[in-house]
Amino acid sequence: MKSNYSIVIAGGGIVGCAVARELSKYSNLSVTLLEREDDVCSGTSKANNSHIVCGADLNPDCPLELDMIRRSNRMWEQLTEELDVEYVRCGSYNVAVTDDEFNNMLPKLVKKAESCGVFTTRIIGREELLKNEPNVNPDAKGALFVPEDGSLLSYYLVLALAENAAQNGVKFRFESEVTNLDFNADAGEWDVEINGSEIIKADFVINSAGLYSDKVSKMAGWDDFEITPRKGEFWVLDKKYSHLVNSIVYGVPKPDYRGTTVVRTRDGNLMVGPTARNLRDREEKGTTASGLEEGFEAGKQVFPWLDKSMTIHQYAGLRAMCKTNEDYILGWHADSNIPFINAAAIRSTGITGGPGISQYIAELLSERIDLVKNPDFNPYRKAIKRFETASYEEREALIAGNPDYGEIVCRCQTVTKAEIVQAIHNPLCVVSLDAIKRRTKSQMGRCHGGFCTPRIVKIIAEETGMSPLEIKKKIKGSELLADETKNAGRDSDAYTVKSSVSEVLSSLSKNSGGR
Amino acid sequence: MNKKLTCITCPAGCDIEVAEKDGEYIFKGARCGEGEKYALKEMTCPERVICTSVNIKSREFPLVSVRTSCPVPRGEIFSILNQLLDVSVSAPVRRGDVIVSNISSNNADIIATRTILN
Amino acid sequence: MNIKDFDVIVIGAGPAGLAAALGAKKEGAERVAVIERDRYSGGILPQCIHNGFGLHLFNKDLSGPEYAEIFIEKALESGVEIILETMVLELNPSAGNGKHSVLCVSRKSGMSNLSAPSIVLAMGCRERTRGNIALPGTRPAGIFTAGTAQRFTNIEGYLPGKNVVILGSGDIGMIMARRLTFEGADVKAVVEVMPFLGGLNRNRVQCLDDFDIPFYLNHTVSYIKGNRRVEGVEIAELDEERKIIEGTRQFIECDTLLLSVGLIPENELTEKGGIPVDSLTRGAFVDQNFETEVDGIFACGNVVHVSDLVDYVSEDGEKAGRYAAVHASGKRKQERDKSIRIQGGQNVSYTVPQVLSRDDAAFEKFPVAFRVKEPLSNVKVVLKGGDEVLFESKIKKVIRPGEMERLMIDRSIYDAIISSKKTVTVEVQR
Repeated sequence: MKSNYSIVIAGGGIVGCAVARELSKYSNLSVTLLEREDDVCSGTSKANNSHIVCGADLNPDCPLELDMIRRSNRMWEQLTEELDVEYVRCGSYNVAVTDDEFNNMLPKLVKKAESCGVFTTRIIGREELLKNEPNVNPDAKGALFVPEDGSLLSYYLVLALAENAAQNGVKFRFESEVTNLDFNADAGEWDVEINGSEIIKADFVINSAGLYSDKVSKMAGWDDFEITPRKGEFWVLDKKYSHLVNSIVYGVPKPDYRGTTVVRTRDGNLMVGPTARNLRDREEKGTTASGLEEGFEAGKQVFPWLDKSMTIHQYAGLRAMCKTNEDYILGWHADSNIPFINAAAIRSTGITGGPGISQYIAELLSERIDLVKNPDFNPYRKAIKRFETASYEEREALIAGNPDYGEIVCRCQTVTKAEIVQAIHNPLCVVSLDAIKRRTKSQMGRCHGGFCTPRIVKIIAEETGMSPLEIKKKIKGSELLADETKNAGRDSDAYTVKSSVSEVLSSLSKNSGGR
Repeated sequence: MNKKLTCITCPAGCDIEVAEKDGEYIFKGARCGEGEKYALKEMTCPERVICTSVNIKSREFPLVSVRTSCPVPRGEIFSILNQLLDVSVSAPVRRGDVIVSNISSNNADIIATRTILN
Repeated sequence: MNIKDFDVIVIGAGPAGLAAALGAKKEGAERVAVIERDRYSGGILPQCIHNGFGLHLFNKDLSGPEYAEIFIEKALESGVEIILETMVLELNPSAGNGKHSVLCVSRKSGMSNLSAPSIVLAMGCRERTRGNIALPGTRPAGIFTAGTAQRFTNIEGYLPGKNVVILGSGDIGMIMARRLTFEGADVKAVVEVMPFLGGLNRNRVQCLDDFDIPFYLNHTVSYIKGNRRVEGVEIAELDEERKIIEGTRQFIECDTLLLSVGLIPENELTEKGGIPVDSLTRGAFVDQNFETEVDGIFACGNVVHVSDLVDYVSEDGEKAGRYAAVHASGKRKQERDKSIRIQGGQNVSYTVPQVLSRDDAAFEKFPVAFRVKEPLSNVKVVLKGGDEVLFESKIKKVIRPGEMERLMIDRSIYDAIISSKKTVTVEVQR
């Protein structure tokens, strides 16, 4: 009988990274996470509105989802403190703008919350709503207040989970797509094929491949469901308007989705969205003119002063939906001889459900194998110290300790060189412009990288020895720059003055074609 | 045959109409004498100032910006740019320094437009 | 904490800031400092290596770096202290003792607090981005604002792409079309949403027409395609309401999209400092001496409104600097009547100044700058005080939005304005 087990996690979104961190608490597990993109949190998990739900508006007929989210709801304070991720239980509002909504819809929402096991919601009148959200639609009659709801930045949470998992021994492999799974029953082992070539062995495979989880599941012989994408589109507003909204404000929900919301993120940006449109193509990741329009108009129902001139950015995300199954597809393969766990069809509640799912999956594993606690597990992970939010005294101390903190690289978000350099040397060893963006908040302000991108390219080149031509926005094939501008080439030691101007001039060759 | 030109001498960008009569050009629409000069040049031998950059060996910058010392025949733009592809100078370079002399058929020089000392 | 006192502090060492510092020196200010975040002075000019600068001021056709160096040299010669690689984090008006202060940070000095009786804001502007115009599609590598592409090409020495579509016919966009053509890229199209050119006409001739670069008016980029690198863009024709005409969509393969879709004055410091900002220009309200609504705080150049000619920026900057020095000296009459407002009327989108402050003793003639909303021909510029016509220009053949107009206010018009005591309107009439 074995006592040490190797585990492969397919997919580095919220679920994969939460599971990786949870399993790193056990010393007899050797965990490898495979991700097809160049970084964790590169799919559905990065594109959401940072609303952490407590479960008040879930479908009571989805017991797994409800269970996972109620588990997570008990974990947030401790988890975010351990991982140094800013989180606040700011509450959320469903604003009623008509009497019908106020008198008929809101009481139904309270009942629904109660059937989901949430008993803290309450209907508030116009006065209390305006006290908390003074800039809401003046027609508002009142709102449903959900005090247990909270807010955090999803990519900060996923990165923190992944970094903490890496600190505790989980191996992360990027640009590594699972292309085949083959279970050898005699040896009791999986052959996990990566990118159509390399094979690694695993005792257990956990599928957290999000939009592609049906494909991975099929490879393991579990093929009775299909994932379809549902697109959500978002607008991001300039930080200078952040004071206009304090928390998370929705209209009343639509029959099939929670509706469009306006959220003040932990970054201080206001975010409007998402929409919900069912698609067939999982690669169709762009925003659309009509989708953006629809989302913005919905936002204006709640905050009529919203104006497109306030916006700095738009993006779209794809939720992993399953037509045949409303609940999560979460659990062991039906054939108990096959050591495979699915965490699929997580839809739009992955960020909220992730921590609960990771706890649940550890419990599933413990049904089959003994899990040995790792005495050296370190639950704490430190975020990069930010200059922007530091006090005056802290700033002076930061610069005294590291002069790079005195050099502002991203002016819109006040990100210093010190933060960029720390992000380049991140625990997951991912170097790309988007990776640095998500780790520092640079390039995501009002000029959207116009000012800082050339500077960050330079810092990456200095820190890593990469040529600027090798620096990518994200995955391979997304190189930022096409070529050098001249023929002569620019050797890195070109900085020593080799000859005088006249010497160079006299050696000029005048007929150098090539164009 | 009438032709329409837009003067590029200054930002006013006058629209100039050109007519030909007895082998001579007649111009209408220029708000100053420079416009007529430009139009005549444009009809006979259009000229442009070329601005680009060349490699520099320097601690501060990989490139130094340059331009032609005067307008050069428009048809020579790409041959001049080609000649500059492999040019490399070393710091210090001062604004106005001749980088390549006599590069065009009308004897323009390539001069540095920025001072790079180190 | 470093604390330092000056007579005049200028924020930004671009053309406006350098001219302001020089103006302040000329007027006799002793301690003049310019704070610059980059490692060199000149602002955007060192990367604007094309010619066309200095025609108005020096009667010379200079490139951006040459124009900048002339001012940098003058500033250094006259004893202006240029503080490089230093970012201003906060502007604190009325910090006490009749002084304003700025909080800044740098590698060398850490956090510093600099104060002066006069501060000149000269932070320039930034480019509008894809997000500002809500351009739909995916988010691959290869989407640049024209200015960022210009920096990569002209300062860093890297070509941003090889097959390029440019959205917007602003001057930087057209100039980059030529620049990238010079560096061997293929510019597939320049696409302009409006029915008229965004920038100067001469740039269309020498940047697009000279190289047969296809130019589409009344068109937009309707979708960006590509998940890793840009694979192409869809462009489409627009009707009079700027809505896409179905059936006109066409796909252009390219690896790069440059955006030249407008500039926005960079006024975050101004706004956070509580200085009133005009929603039309997105710059501070200023009077004819470029003083904002806060006494002793001046603003000049593109941070006030976006100019198309640097020569005018330098002129305005110099004046702002001179008045900043006068204010710092304490010699100026402290109570100024700022009750008369100037605004754009028919066909005019905005004016600068927006405020006329009365200082009859020290009158000097000044321009009112404005832009029209659309190209107009055979028109006259009319200045009104209330309903009364104070001035009418001769008939102008054509006025374009891409070209800033300047109406000079001399003593007689000024006196007429003062005696009318009404809000002044600038109109362009057919």
